[in-house]
Amino acid sequence: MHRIKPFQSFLAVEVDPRIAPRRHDARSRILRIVLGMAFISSLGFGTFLFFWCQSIGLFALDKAKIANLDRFEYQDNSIVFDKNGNKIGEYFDEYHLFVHYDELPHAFVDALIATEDRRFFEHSGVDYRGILRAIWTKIKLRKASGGGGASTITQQVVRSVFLNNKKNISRKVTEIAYALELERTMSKQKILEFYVNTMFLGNGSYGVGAAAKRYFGKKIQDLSPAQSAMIAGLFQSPSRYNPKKYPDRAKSRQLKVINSMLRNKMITKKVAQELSGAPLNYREYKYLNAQNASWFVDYVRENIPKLISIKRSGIGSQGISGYRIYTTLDSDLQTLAESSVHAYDSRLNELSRQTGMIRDSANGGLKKSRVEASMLVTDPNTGDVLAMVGGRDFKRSQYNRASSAMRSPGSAFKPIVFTEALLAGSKWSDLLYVSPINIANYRPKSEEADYLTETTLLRAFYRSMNAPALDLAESVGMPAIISRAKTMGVTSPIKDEFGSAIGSSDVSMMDLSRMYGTFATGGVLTEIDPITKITDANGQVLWERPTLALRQKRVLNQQVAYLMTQGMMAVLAKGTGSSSKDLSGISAGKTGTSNDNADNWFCGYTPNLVSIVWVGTDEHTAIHANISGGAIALPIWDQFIRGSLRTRRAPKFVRPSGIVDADINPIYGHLSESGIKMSFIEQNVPMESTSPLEHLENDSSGGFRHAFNN
Amino acid sequence: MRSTTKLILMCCLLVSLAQFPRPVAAKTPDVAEDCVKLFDRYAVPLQELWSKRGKTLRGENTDGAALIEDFTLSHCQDPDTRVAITSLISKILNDHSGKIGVILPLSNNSYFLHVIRSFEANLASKNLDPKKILVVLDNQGRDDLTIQGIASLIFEHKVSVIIGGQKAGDTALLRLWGSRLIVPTFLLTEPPAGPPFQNIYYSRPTQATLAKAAVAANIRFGHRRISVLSPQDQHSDLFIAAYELAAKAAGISIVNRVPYDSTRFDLMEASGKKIFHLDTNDRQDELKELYKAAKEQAKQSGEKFNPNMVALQPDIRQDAVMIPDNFKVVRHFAKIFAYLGVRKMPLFGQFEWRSEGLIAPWDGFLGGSYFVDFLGAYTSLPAPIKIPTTSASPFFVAPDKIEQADFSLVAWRAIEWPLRLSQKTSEMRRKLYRLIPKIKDDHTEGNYDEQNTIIWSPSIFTVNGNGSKKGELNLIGQ
Repeated sequence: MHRIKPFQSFLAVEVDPRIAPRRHDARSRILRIVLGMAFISSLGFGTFLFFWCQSIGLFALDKAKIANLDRFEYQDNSIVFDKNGNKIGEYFDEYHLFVHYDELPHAFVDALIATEDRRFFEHSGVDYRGILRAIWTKIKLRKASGGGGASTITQQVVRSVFLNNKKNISRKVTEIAYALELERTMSKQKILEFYVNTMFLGNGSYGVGAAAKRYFGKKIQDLSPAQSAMIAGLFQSPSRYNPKKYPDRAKSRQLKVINSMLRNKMITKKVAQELSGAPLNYREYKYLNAQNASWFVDYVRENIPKLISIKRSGIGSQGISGYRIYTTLDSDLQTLAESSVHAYDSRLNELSRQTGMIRDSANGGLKKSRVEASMLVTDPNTGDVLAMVGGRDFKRSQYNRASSAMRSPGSAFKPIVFTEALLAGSKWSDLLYVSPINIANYRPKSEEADYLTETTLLRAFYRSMNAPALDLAESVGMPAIISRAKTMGVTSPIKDEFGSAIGSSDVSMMDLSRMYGTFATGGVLTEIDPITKITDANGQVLWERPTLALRQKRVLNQQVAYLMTQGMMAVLAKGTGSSSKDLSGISAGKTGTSNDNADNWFCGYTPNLVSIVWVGTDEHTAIHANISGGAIALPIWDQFIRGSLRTRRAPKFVRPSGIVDADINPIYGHLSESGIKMSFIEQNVPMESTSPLEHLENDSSGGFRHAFNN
Repeated sequence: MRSTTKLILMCCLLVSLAQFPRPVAAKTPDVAEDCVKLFDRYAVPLQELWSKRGKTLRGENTDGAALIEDFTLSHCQDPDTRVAITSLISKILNDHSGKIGVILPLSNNSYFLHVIRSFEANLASKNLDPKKILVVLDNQGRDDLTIQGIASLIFEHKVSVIIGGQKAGDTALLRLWGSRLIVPTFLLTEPPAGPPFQNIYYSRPTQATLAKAAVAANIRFGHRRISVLSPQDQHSDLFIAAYELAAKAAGISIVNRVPYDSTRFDLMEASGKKIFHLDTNDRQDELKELYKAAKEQAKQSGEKFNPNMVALQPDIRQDAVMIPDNFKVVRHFAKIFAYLGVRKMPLFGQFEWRSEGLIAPWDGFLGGSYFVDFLGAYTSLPAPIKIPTTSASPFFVAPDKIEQADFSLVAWRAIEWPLRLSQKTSEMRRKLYRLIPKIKDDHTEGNYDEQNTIIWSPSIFTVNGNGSKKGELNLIGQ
């Protein structure tokens, strides 16, 4: 028997030579029968094929799907810009970087074509020769599967967008039909562009732009031919050839790609050799977010869903994607804020050795807490967040203390109490007797050194005495204080208890920023908003920050705001912040320390910059060191504000009309040439030029009214 | 002294003696004995005083009184010299110029200038020339200068009365010499314990007077159980002692007397705790119970137990607490008492409370408290020493005028009787004091009682809030 060639076996009909000459009629009848049967079979097969094709939807291809592909919105990272339009961060669930066809390097296209679909530019969506070759290979290898390569790039696109990955004949036929249709409606370049931008290429990256960034830290345009060959090789199996995980496999795959290019005469042997030997220079890509204003970029991300409804688009992506987010961040101030915090690293480390103990989750034992620091810088006139440092090291802890931590403000809350007292008619020169206080059995601890003394309101404020603040709180009442705090932007709930007057109720840095911002502006509260505009990738505005008029509200009498600023300038000039005395002419602020030094604050401001600095531990543990009075937060603020002054002028605080200055004895509150300057509302200026207490103190003649005593 | 000078002086003396009554007979042996007694009693002190005179005091300025230096006891045996001695002594003791001698530490304490001004104002109000009547000497607070001053007033100025005395030293010297030479002497200090010298008077109101007024106020307010806080510097000890005496006499019980140190908060707090029996050792069991109950309550309410909220409640066994100290100490005690959990407790004290500082800024704890003072309304001061009040209240003057008012009023009253006596120049000086009536159970202000102490009616003030930032005083009686 002669060997039947495989191709012939399908086409040839073998006829017995002995029958044909003897029975001609019979033959003819048989032939008719056969033909009839063949016809009937064909008709049946045709009918079957028709109905089968119809059942798989071949006659009703969803052309809209194909048309939509042309308008496909590429999954894209969202990009965050600072106030000057510099890119400072990006968001992605899947890492995408869209690349236009024109931007693709020639070498890369060659490498891809050579590897994935060498007749891509010749076929009409289906590579029949390729299919036959694949079938032949299957037969040759006697395998039901394997020996792939039959799918063209167009088919792969169709499969990834419209179909599933099941391997059956109907899916294959549909794929071919769609491929043919796609080729009819879309250019080769567009199909290729779609292909290279949507395929998963390992390590979280989708598309060649993302892959180029991930593996080589470059744009695709900047890749070398050898690197392009490496990227092109990933399409077949990105997991298997992941250069990060399996560099050897990846290299071997790259060599195959180069060989394919050589086979297809895209490169010469010499070039192939050069490419094979060229170094790949992998480089780990650091996300922008981890480099600049990391906490701020995170904070912005948290805010976006509050501003726009997040659309679901892209290939399986449900995250924030494709947006352009324009923020208020001032990158120079951000750098300055970060460096100001880091300048005190050694001091913070030293303090970390003096904290209370916490449970070590790693081994169940005890360990010292780590002292953290955070800083929030805002523009009180615009509500811009200019800088945000959420902690000391983003890699170590992404917890954003500047936006999320709720901490006890200690004396940093007192401005609210004194504001309310001034509004109720008190004045800075009012006299207070400093003694411990007991309000409904609440007996806070205070500095005993202050007891048995007297003081003016102003001195009590700038020296941050607790007992006088509680005295005032008792006189104005906690409901009024709580209400005042809310009015001035403290959104965290303040407990209706007297401890809150000296800062026992937790607040956020944002609360304090709004509150101090209200003083800085002379009584106007501006909502803090870190985002000015959100657009889509094409620049269409999706959200824009409301105008200032809509975000601002006068919440405090201008005169009282000014008096408070004077009070807080005195904190720097002669109070708990006097280590930064020389800044008192242009800035104001208040220190704060909570129980056991667990929190250390300095909240400072100029007319155009509010800077809140916090130092403490995440676990609220005590810090057993003398850090009261802003001993650690204040220097950080000091460093920051001095730095900011180099580039950002601090205007003078605006003095409203109806304010009068007078020289006042700081302890007893009477007019005195040797006293300190205090500001008053015109109708509320002290008149006394002497004080009984001062007279008593100065009386060295033997006791008060000694005419009757000696 | 040269004999010629002596002879001249002797002649002068004899001539002058002829003009005076002869107080001492000189002819019999008894007369000689009288001379000896007279010599011992007066010549010796006069010689001593002369010997301690100042350098500026010369014999020629003494109108012969300096001769006292040359007499000895033996001169009593000689009839001629005996007459001279007795006459000279009589002259020194009895003759007076109608002037008022004042010895005060003027250069040490400016407040005494107010005393002089008040003396002058008083005289001027009576159309008298202070320069002609007052002989003012500054002893600078020194004993030697006080004696020199007394010598000058006696030998040189022949004053009718002496006013002075500020410190223990000069007061004792004035008392000593005033009594030895029978010079009416008006002292501006508290009288000592014991019977008074007949011619020594005390022109400043006494603590006993004030204490009696405080007791009267206690009774008026129904406060019969009193705690006394006594300052450790002892400046109020006299008042406290007088108060305890007066209280006992009135049937008021002193619940406890606790000292305090007003310079230290912890000690003041400790005194407060003692007053209200807040000693945690004494009431340990009670404290444990309180902790237990508070823990239980915290557990039930789901809140964190706060040991700072647990404290013993004061054990109040008194109706009022006396704080005889200045308004500043009073105010701090009021704060400490409130801190210790005392919701309300009338406090009372004396003149040291009197200040606008007591009521401004107002502390509600002080409502219902009271004090006694020597001075009533400033508007009632004699017109020449009137001091403008600082506010609508008649009870306050500027702080630097308070002591001026006190000294002025004391001085104004202190010079009344000396002035009357000094005008009796025809009376022998050593008998002048007899002109001062001794009044018992009378309230004629400015007169003197049986203890030779000026009669003075203290005022009682109550302290109250009036809804404003400043409280107010009310004068409720004298």
